[in-house]
Amino acid sequence: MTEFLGELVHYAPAFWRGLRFTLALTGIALAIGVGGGLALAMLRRSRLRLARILATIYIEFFRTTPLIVQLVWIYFVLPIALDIEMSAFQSGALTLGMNQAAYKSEIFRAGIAEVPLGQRRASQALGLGRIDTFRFVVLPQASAVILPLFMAHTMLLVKGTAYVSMLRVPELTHTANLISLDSFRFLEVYLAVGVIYFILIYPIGVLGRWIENKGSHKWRPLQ
Amino acid sequence: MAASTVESDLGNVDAPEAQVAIRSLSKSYGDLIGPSGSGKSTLLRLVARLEPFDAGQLWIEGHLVALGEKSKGDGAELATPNHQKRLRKEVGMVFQEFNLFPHFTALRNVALAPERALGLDRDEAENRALVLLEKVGLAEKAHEHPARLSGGQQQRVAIARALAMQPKVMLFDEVTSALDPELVGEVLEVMRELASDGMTMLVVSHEMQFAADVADTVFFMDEGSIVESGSPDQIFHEPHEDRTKAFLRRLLAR
Repeated sequence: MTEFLGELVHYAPAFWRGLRFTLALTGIALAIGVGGGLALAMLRRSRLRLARILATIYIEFFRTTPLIVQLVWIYFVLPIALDIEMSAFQSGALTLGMNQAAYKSEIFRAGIAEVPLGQRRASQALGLGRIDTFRFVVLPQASAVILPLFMAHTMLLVKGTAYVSMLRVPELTHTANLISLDSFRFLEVYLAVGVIYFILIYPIGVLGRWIENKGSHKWRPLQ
Repeated sequence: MAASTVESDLGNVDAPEAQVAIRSLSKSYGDLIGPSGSGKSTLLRLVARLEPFDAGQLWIEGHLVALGEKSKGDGAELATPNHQKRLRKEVGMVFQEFNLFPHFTALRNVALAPERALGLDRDEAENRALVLLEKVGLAEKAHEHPARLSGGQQQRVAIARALAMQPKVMLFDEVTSALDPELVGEVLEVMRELASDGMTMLVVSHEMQFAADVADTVFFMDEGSIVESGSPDQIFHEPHEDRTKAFLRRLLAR
């Protein structure tokens, strides 16, 4: 095994490329997830019934079907339905992002609901509009409440990028597949790729706890 | 303040029709008393337009500022969201539970609304905030978060925060009820000062002695309506209505 770990160095460029793809998928999906999640959370609080219903259907669809099924649909069906061309990478990132948005919106919604009604009333009574109230009063407090959950869910996203290997996007897991087929050293290759995932994901939890501690000596959510 | 008849089917659960009339409160101090569940807080929230009302008109200093949602017709445009927002800027409200923003310092709590809702730049807004914190005796706590302040101090910051919008009318909803007894005095002191500055104030309160000292008019509410109003002297010593008498007797018996 040790001699093979030396051999693995030959595959370093491939691993490096896989890592970049994994990071890119994570970054894009997180951006779509946070933006879309916020939008969905707001739609679910909208005064328009139709907006609430559409947002609920979206969220429930993505929460009740496997990610793999979603990947296939968005990769094969969406381009035909909309008459556009999408690479496997684009489809993968979009699917992960849309899936993230559904879950993240529920996290945001829970956080928003935790902010006491009195906070919104006070803000309204001061003459702040809905958007300012959300931005300056509700969102900062909701963020503090949901931070641990948000970080845990983002850790899941990094691991979730592995599903995109199914579309042969050369991210870490697909790369590991290719290398192990090339070298027939499955255990060692998957050990290495496991270590890489750990190094990627572990700091997210540490970062979350750091932010939590940094704020908590000044104020805590929910007096 | 308001010559108004306000109807609401929010009201309290057991008092679906809140019908109140407040007359000629300009530059004066009105105190609302009455049993809990009588609609006092609901009335304040209606005046602050935190809750819509069905019918009636709301006047502040001679201006019609809001109409009930079912009173369309002349001046119906006054019931638009824009107008409600403007009204909120003219009415300041202080709550029983303080409702300070826990993630901001005292200074930011006070400066936020002038900055965002009046368009002042940050320095201007923070200068105004400092002057007001000085006024309520908390300039040295400007950079503390609410969690580091006592209840009385938090409530004084909340008063400064409402004043920062330079409202024409200040509403106080049982602002000393959540305070430890030894902290009540400092809040009442600030309110007494405001009253002597000539601020129009409408106060829901269980501090009868304070109402007797400071109020120009006392309103007694029960079951969603104002039962009786008059000078503190008259209400506390020669109430006309049986319900007022019964309420005061219960209060004195405690």
